[in-house]
Amino acid sequence: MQHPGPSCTHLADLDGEEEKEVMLRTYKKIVTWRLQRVNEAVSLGKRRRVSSPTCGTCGVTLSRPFVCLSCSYTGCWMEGHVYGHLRESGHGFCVDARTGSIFCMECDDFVYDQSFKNVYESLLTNAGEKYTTFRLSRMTREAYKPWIPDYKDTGALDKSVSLPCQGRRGLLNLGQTCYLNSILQSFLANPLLRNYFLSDKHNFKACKNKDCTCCEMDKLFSEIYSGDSKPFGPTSFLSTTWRASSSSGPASSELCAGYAQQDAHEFFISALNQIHATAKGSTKASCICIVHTTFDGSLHSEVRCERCGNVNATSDPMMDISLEIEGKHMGGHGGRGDGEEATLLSCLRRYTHPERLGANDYSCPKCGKNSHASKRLSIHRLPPVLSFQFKRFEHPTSDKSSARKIEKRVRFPSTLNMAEFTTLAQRNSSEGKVNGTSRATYAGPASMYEYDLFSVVCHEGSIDNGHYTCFTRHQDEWYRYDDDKVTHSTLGDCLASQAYMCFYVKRHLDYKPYVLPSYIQAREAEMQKEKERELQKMREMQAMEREVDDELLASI
Amino acid sequence: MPSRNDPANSALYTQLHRRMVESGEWDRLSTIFSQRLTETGWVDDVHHRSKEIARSAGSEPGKTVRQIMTDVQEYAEGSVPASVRQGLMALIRQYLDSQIDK
Ligand SMILES: [Zn+2]
Ligand SMILES: [Zn+2]
Ligand SMILES: [Zn+2]
Ligand SMILES: [Zn+2]
Ligand SMILES: [Zn+2]
Ligand SMILES: [Zn+2]
Repeated sequence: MQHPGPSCTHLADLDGEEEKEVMLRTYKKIVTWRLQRVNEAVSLGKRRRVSSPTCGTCGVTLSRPFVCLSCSYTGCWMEGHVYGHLRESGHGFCVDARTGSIFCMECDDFVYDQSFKNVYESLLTNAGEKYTTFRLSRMTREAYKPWIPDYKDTGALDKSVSLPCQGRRGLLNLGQTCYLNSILQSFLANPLLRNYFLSDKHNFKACKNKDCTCCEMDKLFSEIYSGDSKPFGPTSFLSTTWRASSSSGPASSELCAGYAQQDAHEFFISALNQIHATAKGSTKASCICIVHTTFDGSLHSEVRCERCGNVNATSDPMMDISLEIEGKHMGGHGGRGDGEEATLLSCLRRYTHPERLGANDYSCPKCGKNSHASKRLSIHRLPPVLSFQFKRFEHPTSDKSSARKIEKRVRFPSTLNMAEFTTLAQRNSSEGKVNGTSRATYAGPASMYEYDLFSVVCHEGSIDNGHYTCFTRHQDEWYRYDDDKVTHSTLGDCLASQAYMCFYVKRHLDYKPYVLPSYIQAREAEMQKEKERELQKMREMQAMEREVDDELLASI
Repeated sequence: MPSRNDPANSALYTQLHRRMVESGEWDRLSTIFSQRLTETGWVDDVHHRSKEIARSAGSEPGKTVRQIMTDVQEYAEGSVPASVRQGLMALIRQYLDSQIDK
């Protein structure tokens, strides 16, 4: 990634100099010390006393030391002591040990420098690998290998055309299609979908599928990144979706029948199904298509029979999480009742809280009796992109007029840590309660659970006369999409909106050893065979020619 | 509220503070504090304001982090939700009580 601001010429001028090498080594030591400290403190549980540096000026013990990169001075930031040190000593730079940020005295500001950033990223990755051990295998994680383009990649890169890295276009309303426009904008802002389609993984000119939603995605990305900023009408997307859903059974054809206002979440789910169905490498189980690699996580459910104590556990795939805004049993656990404001986290807590099932709701497979049971959900595997739906629309009966909208505000954060909602954290926490360790909910380094908000789909107005809009983020800037109108917005406006769906992307994507997908393997094997067949033909031809030559020679 | 700049308190403060940092209690409390501040929207609100301060200053010469911090500090300190503040105070008091016993 590019650094977000202008770089510091004072650091850049030192590139290649011994002075910078020395500073980088110091920097590495400081960041390593901090990461080790943070991860060991929580993972070891039992805390031990660790001595900490003190401020070289006021003597206070530093929980967040700033360290001079030229000498070994450590100081505090808030009282201005590290700043004073730089000013008086003429030393140029210091580092915030907690974040790895570098302060340049001459710029009088925090600065970005690629060499320091690279060191920081790789230390963070190493720490992530080192402090994750899997419960079952006791193995550490696969080591991260950065991508270094080989000659083939470089060749391809040289031939490719550069495009601007951002594209923004409003989408025309084709008759109450704001539900579609908003979901499409959230797809366009999704970095995994963007990378897939912009790297030509599904080229609509080469695809032979009928009613192919993947092709529609490819065309949509081409239009949005074409450089044209006029609003675009996604007519062919809409009609393909229509045809695809009317041919795939009554349930989904109902969905898109007529021009009535549709539910954005229903469209989201049906679009994902259609993209999956037309994507390369799509399979029924453990699918590796673009939709599944992006959105698919798994949900773990445990039901404990209160009669015999038997635990029945199942894992199911999940594409998104639908959350109740208002709990059924208000004011229940932990005193978080009606009075407290609804937040994404409070909804998630309720979602993963044990729920007591009625005596007739559960029949235990072990003791074979109907019994009270407690059921608990947790997230077993987190997806790269997490999608949430807030259940704003209630349908108490099948009669449409009885539907109502819950207007209640739900607060959602721009960054999210999912650790406490995972199966691993739940297990550790209940084990912790049993044997009294403070290991509590530790489930590995925080970097494995951090997500950043990148899009929000909002619903404004009443249930039958409402309007969908969408916010999306490009780097640190927010934009609001209201059909064809695109406006530069702010984080504050986005977070104050009445969210219906929220989309988060994992800050550090998971990685594993590279395996060629089986459909590519099959294709390459086929190409290899084809080549061999051709070679064989050529050999036969040559042999024939030789025979002819020999005959000719003999006849002379 | 007794000031920690008062020399009589400052020695005690320094000592307790060191104990909290070295035992890991400080980090534990700041983690809880920052989670609560994130959930109540305080972190995003201050982030948003700081960014808009920087934006309104333009890019030439622009505002430094130190200037933005000065601009936003009063608002940031004043807007910490009372419930979060009280919760943290209770945790600190709990810790202090546990130290007096020893
Ligand atoms: Zn100091
Ligand atoms: Zn120095
Ligand atoms: Zn500089
Ligand atoms: Zn296609
Ligand atoms: Zn799939
Ligand atoms: Zn049973």
